[in-house]
Amino acid sequence: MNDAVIETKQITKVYGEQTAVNRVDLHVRKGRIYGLLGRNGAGKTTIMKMILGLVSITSGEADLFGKNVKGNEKQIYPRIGAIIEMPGFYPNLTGTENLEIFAKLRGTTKPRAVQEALEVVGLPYRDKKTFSKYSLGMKQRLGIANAILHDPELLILDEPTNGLDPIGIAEVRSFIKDLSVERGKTILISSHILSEISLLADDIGIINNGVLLEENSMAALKKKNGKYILLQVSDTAKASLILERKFHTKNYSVQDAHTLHLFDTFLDMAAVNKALMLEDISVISSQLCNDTLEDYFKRVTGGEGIA
Amino acid sequence: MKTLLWAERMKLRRSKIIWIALFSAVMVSVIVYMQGQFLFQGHRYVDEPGWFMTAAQSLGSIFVLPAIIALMGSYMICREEQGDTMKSLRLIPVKLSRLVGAKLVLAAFMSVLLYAFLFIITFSTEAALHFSLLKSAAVLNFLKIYLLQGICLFFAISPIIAIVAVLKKGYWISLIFAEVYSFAGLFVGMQNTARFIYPVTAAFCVSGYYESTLPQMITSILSLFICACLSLLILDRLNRKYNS
Repeated sequence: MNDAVIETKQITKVYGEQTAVNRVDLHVRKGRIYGLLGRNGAGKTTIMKMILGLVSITSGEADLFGKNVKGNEKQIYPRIGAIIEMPGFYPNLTGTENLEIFAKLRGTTKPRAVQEALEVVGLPYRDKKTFSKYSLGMKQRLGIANAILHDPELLILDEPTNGLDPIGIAEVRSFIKDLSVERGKTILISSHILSEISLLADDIGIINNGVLLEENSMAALKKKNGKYILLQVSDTAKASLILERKFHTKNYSVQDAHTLHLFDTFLDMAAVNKALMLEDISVISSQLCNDTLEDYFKRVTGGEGIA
Repeated sequence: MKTLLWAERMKLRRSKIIWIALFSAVMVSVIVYMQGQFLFQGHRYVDEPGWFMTAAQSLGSIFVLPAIIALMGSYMICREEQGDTMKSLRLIPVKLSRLVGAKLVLAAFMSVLLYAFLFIITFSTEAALHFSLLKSAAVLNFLKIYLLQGICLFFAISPIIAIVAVLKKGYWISLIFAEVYSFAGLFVGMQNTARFIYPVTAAFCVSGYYESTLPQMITSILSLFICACLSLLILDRLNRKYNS
């Protein structure tokens, strides 16, 4: 993909005898929100760390903006804002003081950068409260403020809503969406919460036990699910021809030689069955199904599901 | 480097380590003053002009201040890893060698400031006790000894700061290492040749506390120079480990 901001090629991370990440090919496209979904310990953070060059890659390659991070840190890092695990700050300093340090080290020239970043995440500017007295949610907000401080093109956010209350989660979700839609930022976000990813992401990668099980656009995934008629027939190739010819629909997907999902649920099932039988196709079963994304993820991850 | 030094100074705002350092200097003064209440030939030690400044500098440099300087230096380095700020700094990107360099420069500066603070306390006390007996040349000589002791002792302690940074076992361990290291100086100081070689006592030589010949002075400077090189070598290893 030419517009890939992040592209990994078969990246693998092995710790001792344990493979934390196994041959992952990830493609994050410009201006889109990519949700990396997986259970705790699935390998999401390790993937992000490898992409950022914070941990070494055992094998494979990770490119950011078409370049390998190693050796190009000075060109690449200023274009990225990231939170990996819990954001680390100096406990004896206030949020503003902490951000002022990072802003100055980054060489941020915008005079109100710190104030604006704090405003975005809803934290007070020039507050007297030190970081050590911050709640988990405030710490997380400050981490996000630090990530967006220098107006980066790419944001890599590892579980950014951890520790936030429901209103905080909604706020963070809203400004992440705004950053992508209004400012054209590319965002890679990880989470173990399906609803969070499904509300935010344009593209999704499902990871389980270090393996990327699926990478697709959210629209395609939604299309794969929802309501459909499950048809189990003797010959799906012939059945699909009949559906196209007699019912003028292409809105179906062939799962295997005997299973077909028909997404036009308004069709008369009795008529479909009759038409198939008239063409010598045995209909083993036909039923209306209503799969949620969660059902789908359960299926993809081998029944374990995602919280 | 200027920005890094500014950042390091900012990071120490409201830091307890500063208060610990100041408290230790005050405690050194208090303990030495109490010691000065003992009588020698009918007079209190503390009544002799220059005694308080000499005793506070030497006892502080053996028993307390090396440990405090080591603690400050290793705290500044280790806190980045312990507070998990290192990964944010890496993503700026900040080079570890430059970051540690800035920390060491600031630690050296703080070491000198600590000795300057101790000098202010001891000089003020001496002035309060017997201002008319103090000679300006002697006071200035003491100021020189204090300031040089501050910088030289930092060089002597720097390998401990570097080792603790590599060990990553927490900065408090540097307190123990430095205490043992400086306490040994008490015994080495009694030996004529060794005291110009052993880094802690070599600092006394370079500062002018010990009377020394030119070769002895050169030996002491060389000893402290080796300490500084050793710390840089150890920190370079840390840098390589970090980059790989």
